[in-house]
Amino acid sequence: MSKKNRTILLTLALALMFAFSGCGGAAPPASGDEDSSSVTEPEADGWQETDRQSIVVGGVRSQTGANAIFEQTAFGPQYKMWIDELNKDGGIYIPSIGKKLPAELKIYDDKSDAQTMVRLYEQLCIEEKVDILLPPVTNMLLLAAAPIAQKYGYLMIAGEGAGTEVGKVIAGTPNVFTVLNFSQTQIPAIAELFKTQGVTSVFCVYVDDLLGAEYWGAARPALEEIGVEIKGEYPIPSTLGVDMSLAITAAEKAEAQAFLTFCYPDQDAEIAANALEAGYNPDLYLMGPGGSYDSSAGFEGIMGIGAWNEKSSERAREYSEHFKSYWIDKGEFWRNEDGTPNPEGTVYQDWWGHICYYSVCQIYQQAIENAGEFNEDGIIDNAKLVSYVKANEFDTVLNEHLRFSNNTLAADMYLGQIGQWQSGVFEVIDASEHRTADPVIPKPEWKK
Amino acid sequence: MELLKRSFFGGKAAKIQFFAIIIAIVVLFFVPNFGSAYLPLFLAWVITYAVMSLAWTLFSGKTGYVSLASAAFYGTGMYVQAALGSNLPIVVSMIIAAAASFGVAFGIGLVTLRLRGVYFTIFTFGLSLFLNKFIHWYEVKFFHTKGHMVLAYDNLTVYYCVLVVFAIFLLVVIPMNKSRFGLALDCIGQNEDSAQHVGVNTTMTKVLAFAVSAAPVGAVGAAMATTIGYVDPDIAFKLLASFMPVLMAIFGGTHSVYGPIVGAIVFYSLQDYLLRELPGAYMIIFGCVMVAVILLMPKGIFGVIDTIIARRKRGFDGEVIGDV
Repeated sequence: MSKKNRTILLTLALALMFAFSGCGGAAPPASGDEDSSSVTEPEADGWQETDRQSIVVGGVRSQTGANAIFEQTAFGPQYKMWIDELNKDGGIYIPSIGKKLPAELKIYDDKSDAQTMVRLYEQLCIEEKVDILLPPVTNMLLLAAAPIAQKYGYLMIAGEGAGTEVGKVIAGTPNVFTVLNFSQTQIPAIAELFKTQGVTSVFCVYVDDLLGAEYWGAARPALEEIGVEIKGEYPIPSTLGVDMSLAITAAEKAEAQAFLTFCYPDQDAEIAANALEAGYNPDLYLMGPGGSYDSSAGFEGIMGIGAWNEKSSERAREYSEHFKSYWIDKGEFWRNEDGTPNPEGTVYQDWWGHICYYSVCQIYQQAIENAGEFNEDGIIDNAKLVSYVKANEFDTVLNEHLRFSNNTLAADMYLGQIGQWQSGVFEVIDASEHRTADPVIPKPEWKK
Repeated sequence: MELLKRSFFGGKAAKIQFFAIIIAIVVLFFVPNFGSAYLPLFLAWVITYAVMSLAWTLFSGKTGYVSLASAAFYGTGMYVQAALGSNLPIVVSMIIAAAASFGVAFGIGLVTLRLRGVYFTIFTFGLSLFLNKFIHWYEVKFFHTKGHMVLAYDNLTVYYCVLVVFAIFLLVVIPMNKSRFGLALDCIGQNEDSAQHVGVNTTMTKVLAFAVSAAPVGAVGAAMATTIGYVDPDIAFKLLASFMPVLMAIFGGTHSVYGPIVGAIVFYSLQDYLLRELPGAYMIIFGCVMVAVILLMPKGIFGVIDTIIARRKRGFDGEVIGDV
């Protein structure tokens, strides 16, 4: 090929690149709420607040890939329910224009990949100019998303992640807030439980990942400090297809009084199934993520991190019933109204995170309804929202007087830190005023 | 110097090529001023993939040794940035990242480039996996955590950083292709035993080419790490980063310097568009395009165009084209 032809081809490729890159303007929404109305593109020149027909709530969520299970079962149902009910109620009130505007969800799929997530967040912030930015799914993605929210001045309130590493990040990103309780509040409660119940030895299976490192990295020194003997530890990879029976064999050999599993929900459940099969029944069995899901209710006596239930508070009960009835009506809850299993159902109650995730929605809503106004770019002024969130209390299902301290919540904001399945209820058992039942130790025998 | 003269000023065509490259770089320098604020990031990714694809072609396209180590070099660059980025200017950490990737490739090359065929490919694939798992183990074992935060830079700075790497690499690759070194690589690709018989130090030539091709990949890895803000082994050593440059190079054509660049532009633009507009069908369409390219255009876009032009020329010369 002659160099002239090559130059022509390169020019054509460059033209194609610019056409695809969206130089000509913002692309239409990739996905969103079915009921939502169309977006009015903000215009810098001659823009007026009354031009706006909706508020755009943007997010990059893992709808496919390894994290999709968390989005489908834990986070997604909260946001969908919130937006749906918000719009049924006429939308979200914007004080600066004195009326409600419907909310529109504009969600991109990051395919559980950090680089894709970053690119899509940049597009949401720069090109789509969404009004509100939702956080991504999981701790790891939140670590990458927080600097972007900060860079573009967006408020980001996350129920999707917390922990020591996230804590370090949000110390440098004042626009980012976390709501979920995690190792920093749960491990002290676990240590206290061990101490008060006289537990003397422990064996831990943990996922060889940020999650496992956060939890076991905090638990090990905390338990050693109170004299608990570490009989052994068993790291497992985060990949699927791991033979969990080996972990149970190692735990049985160690003969520890307590057994901890700090892995991902499906892994924790598989370990429990293997323990049940092998008849391994330590005095204290505490599951990490997944232990608080309804799907673990059959594991009588198993403990989990969390925690709350319908007895925790009146507003917690109302929220729980509301969530249940909403998804039962949609036919997506794992149980039918009469309590029989719904084979089509994919939505479970999570007695750890759900109340935190819904509180996130409430905080966003209250911040907008009290401090929402459009800036010169024609989008909600997020700087004002950040100031409002920092300075005010929020009336949420988690806490009537929810208030951030250094962009996180103090331990006393939560309804509990440890739960235990007792007769189908995830009872709060940590030694605090939130306890709804005394811990049952030793754990009852497995019921197949 | 003589080589540079011959490469860029040795005849009318070489001069046109040289000035076209310079004009393209100058245009790319000013382009971000005329697009949306997202454009620099988009272009930075396109250029990053162009560099990776070009680097793959420099070694694998010429020697026929299919390397799947791009993710290893890219990830090395990212980790260098994560480790040093807070204390050093980005340009310095990019140079160190390039040197680190060069060093990794040189060391690995010395050990493995005596292997041939599929054994080399499997080894390079395993290298990315090994680095991923090793760093993962190291971080969890000794630091009870996974990953590092990376000091973020604005998109425009990152764009100019990768653009400079691209320009330098392009201005190195073109003369290299015309040099004795490039000729030696071509010989190895055609028949390694023959190359050895005519006096080419095949092992050292391959090792050097492998290492030279790794350096710019490390540099762009360091620059792009700053757009993500957080790097862990799964992000840095993602296996897709080993396959994408190969696909882009095959798509554009591996027999020309411009093939991988066109492949990167088309592939990344398509990916970016589909991710937003057809997220559910993104991988299906992507897969179909790839299968179609391999079946219908085994020599890539440039190969097809070369064939068409050659046929037309034969046609003008009075030769019979096809069954006409």
